[in-house]
Amino acid sequence: MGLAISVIVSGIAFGLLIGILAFTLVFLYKTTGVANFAIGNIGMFETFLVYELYKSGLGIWPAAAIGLVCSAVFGGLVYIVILRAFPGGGQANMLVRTVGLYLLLAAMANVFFGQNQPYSFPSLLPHGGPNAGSVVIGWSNLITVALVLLICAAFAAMFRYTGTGLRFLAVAQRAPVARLLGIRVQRLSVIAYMIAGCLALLVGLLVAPQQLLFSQMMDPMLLYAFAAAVIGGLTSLSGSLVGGIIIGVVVDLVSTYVGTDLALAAALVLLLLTLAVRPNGLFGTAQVVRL
Amino acid sequence: MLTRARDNVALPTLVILILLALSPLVITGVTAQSVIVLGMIYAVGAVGLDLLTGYSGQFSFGQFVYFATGAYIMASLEINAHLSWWLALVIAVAASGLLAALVGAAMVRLRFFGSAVGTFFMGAAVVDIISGPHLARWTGASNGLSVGAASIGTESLTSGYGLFYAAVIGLALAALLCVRYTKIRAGIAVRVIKENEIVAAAMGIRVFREKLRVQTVGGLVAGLGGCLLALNLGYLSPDTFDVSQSIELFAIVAVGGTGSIAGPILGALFFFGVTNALPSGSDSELVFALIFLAAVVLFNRGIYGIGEQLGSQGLKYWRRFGLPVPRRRAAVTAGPTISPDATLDPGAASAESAASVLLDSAVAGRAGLARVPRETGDVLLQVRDVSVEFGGLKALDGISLDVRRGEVHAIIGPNGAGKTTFLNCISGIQPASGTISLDGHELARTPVSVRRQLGIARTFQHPSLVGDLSVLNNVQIGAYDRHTGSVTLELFGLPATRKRRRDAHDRAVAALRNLEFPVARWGTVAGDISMGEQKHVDIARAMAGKPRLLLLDEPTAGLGAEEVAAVAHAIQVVRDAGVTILVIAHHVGFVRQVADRCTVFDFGKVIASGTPAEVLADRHVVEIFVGDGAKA
Repeated sequence: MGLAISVIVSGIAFGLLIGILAFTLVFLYKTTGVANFAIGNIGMFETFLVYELYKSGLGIWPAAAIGLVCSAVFGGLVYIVILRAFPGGGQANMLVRTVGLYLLLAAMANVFFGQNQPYSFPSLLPHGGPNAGSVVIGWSNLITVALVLLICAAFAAMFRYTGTGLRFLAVAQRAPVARLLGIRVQRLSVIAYMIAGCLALLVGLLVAPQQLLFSQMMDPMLLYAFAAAVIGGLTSLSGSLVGGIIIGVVVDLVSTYVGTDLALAAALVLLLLTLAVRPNGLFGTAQVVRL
Repeated sequence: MLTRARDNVALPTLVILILLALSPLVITGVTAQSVIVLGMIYAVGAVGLDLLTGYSGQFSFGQFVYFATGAYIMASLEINAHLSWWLALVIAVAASGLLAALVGAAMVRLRFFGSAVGTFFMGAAVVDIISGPHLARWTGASNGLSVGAASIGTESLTSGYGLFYAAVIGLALAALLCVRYTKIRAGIAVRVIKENEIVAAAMGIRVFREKLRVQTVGGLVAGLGGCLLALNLGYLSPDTFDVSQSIELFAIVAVGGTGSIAGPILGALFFFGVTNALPSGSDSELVFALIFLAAVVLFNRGIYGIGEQLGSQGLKYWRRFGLPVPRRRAAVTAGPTISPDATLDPGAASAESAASVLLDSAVAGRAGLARVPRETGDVLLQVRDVSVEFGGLKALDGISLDVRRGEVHAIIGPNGAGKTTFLNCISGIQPASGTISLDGHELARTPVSVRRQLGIARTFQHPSLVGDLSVLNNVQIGAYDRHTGSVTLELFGLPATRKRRRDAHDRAVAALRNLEFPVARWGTVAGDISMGEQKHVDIARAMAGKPRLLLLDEPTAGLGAEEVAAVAHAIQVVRDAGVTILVIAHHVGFVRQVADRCTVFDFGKVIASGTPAEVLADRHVVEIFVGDGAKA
């Protein structure tokens, strides 16, 4: 029993990490209308950059801090160069561009950094943790939960109290109308991507210590994040976190009791079930289209 | 991204296949030949993916799963069941097709984002499963599986010329299957689905079934590719089938040019050429990723598109030097072949019109669109108490009306009155409460595509013609009275299939002629005609299936005075042929001219019903249109 609870606890923490990536996905989807296949590899590449800084002698925390700043810039660049240039291909074209970016970032990581991968990555979070009876609750799990709650609170505050947040909500609801009302949608998209760049790095920094740093490290995370986003509902930001928790717990339980080779399959089954039974996810709203 | 699919790709494909078959004469290096072999093997899967994405608009980022099933099943059957290689191959290919059908059944119901994510997921999950302990008995898990030797007589198929020509033959089979598929009715139907699924359903196409069929073909050829890959490698390990290969396969199709079958073959050869040319594996990954991105962002018609442009430039220079150009046979009976500059070639058009005049009386009689005296009186369509709610908004509130056989019944009303929603209810696209009966037959449980068979045809505010098909082909696909029947039989081109196609063609010709659509424009691709022409063609497409009830959704919206008159005339022609018409219109003058009876909608309710003269004289109706204080 103790094992099961430990697994569930770590599953929740893992799930919240997935949730952040899913949150980023949904956030980008709502503000730019594009589901970004490359968001995982953006985080991976940025983590590699931090690793390079760390290898060159900086401590891990300063490296991470500089990395965060660079990530914001990187995220904005990604939007401007890949997505904003030559618009007019339609949604399918945008999706495929993100797939191309996915390939490009993996290749770039392999070429520039990947000679001796996988690398072991220092953990930013302390090890060990308190016990509650036979259940081990790691500090890393607790801090992850706290971090996620902090980020959610920050976003909630932004949406509620700042002008930019309000504009984000407007664009997320109805981009063409927002544009007509004078909102600079493209500039907001750049900001959204900058934020996404930082969040992706954050996820990468927390994943790398466990999974080791290599160019495909974020692939499973990306898939789990997609599943979480769909389960939560592609139009619901809070839903993506709930979806993340569900996926995290299920994946951890399956990995522990059935086998790690079926973890992805389990998440896929959940994804397909959701799409079959409740296509709009738990919290999403149906999109009504005028014929 | 999804560029125009091409129609006549058989010739380029054949040329490329012949060049590949002859290439060992010129390219003698072993390394170069092995690069070509690998390119051809990937191309086997790529042509199937092109059919899936370029022609039917379904995304798959997991096609390599079927490579994996083909390879592993073949190798495993050889080892565990001691089957000979060719039997194992056949079973493996069939199994891949079956798996694709099963997976497709889940994926096709999703929008493209869902299928993109789902297939990507599947690609990753399957590799995990293959390398895991659960299937280790058959897959060897991460230790891998060795592939048995295969040979025909003394020629080994796992190396040398045996392997090369096995790959050529495999590619030829796959490519020709896909090319043939694009020519049969099912292949054209999926192009309508790619354009607009709802319009396709309203035309009688079984959307789910057609999408599933293409998924199966994609899986079959990918399975074949997997078997060839197994023969090539001699040893299988899960890494070979990593999800990145699925994405590379998609990139190959995109760089080669979606919608061309021949393009992806070039794309695959290009990909492996690049990989081989650069010293390090990751360097070539990088270069190819850059090319892929460039292709998608800047030039999404791919290598094939570049070839097309060079070809048409070359043709211009050729003509300028006065050199003869072979006249394209204007085959009216088989359907006109379309070259990129068909509109520049007047010879083809006049040959067509001459031939079509000769066919006139024969066709008109056969297609049954002779003039029929108008009989009105009994009720064809009975609508009782139909209501539709969108959240709190009542789009339709207890609509009841009768449409009499043989009449032209107009529905008018201000924007948002529920007119299109009403038509959507009759088509079956919009669920509603209440009853709608056609000739006494209640429609509630009839699916959209079956309503076409019952005789209900419609046009849409946005015509959604297939932009890369000619006008005639667009109308022809609407002329099939049913979209059932076995695809396998169709692929073989039996006499029954050809007769069915001729009938559809004749009906299409008759419909276009009866609606007086200019013959010179029949060969133009629908993407190149004006909106007015598109609406005209949309009506012809709906008429070609010989409906009993024709629903026209705002046929005059956005048209100039001359075009409105043309549509009015078209409606009169259709009515004289005995078809009942329900038309939504905004033009009051148009309604006065064509309608026998008229119903006014406002806020989802019927306000008035009667002859146009009566209804338009009604004070309430005038108020709705013009506002308070207007003089009647």
